[in-house]
Amino acid sequence: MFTIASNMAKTELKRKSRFSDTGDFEAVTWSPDEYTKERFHYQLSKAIDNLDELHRSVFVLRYLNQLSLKEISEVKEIPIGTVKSRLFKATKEVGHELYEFRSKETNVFKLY
Amino acid sequence: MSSGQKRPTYLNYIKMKEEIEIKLFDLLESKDYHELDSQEHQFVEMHSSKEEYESQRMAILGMKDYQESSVPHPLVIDRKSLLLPLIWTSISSAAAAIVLLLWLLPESKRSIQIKWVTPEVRTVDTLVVERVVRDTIVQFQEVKSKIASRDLSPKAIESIPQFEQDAFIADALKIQKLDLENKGVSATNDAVIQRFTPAPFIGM
Repeated sequence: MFTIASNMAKTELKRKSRFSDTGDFEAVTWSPDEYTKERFHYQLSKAIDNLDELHRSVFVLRYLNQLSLKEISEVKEIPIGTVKSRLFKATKEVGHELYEFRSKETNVFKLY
Repeated sequence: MSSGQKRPTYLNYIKMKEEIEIKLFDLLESKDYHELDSQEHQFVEMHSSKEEYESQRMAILGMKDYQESSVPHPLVIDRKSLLLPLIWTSISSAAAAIVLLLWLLPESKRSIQIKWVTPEVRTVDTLVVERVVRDTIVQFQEVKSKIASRDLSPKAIESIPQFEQDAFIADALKIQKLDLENKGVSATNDAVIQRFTPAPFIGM
């Protein structure tokens, strides 16, 4: 079932290769000092979109489909260690894209 | 480098790097930066930085927040929504298999014939006859004694005509076969019983 999920995610990825193409955020613009939740989400979507397939798939399976590490390992047929390593790299890249929000976290969401 | 120390290779470096990433990821998934103990702080500072750790942690928590928000992520696959197509696929696969099977089966076997069997009442002899094998034994004994009365030296046996020997064996086999076939048959219709002369009636 998770293999099907993974394949469906891949198909979906191919079909909607860019979040901006979906039109979810297309018409929305923000001023540089505007740190809203919507902008954060937009930035997050962009960051996920910019990930390569290898890292994006594990990131999506983990944090959007909420699969356990074991499940991801089974779906992707890779060891759990590799799953963790890929997730670390993915969060690192996504984190870079969200860096500017770090100090503005209280406006977006409570980190602590 | 001492002789006991392993020479760092590229593979070792990759493995070590992966181990660090795994440990950092475990921390990232479980703790905020301020929740780390001094040893963990040291580890994070050594291999990453506070800012980077917080950014990554923000990405993880942000995903949670993102998911809870009203905007549906185009990549979200609702597990429940997967169930219906899965059931549908299973049903259609099963149907296709049945159709294929019917198509492959020869014409004669396609239809299932249901015969309606009307209950039949049969009158059977309730008389249970214990098979009297005495006659059979007597008959056999007679034949045997006939043969026995002759000289049973191998030479003499040879002198018994083959057809007589064969007839005896054939008869014995026939009786045995009949006996098996007629089990449960009414005594009046029993071929084995009819074959021999009835045993003298012993009055009770």
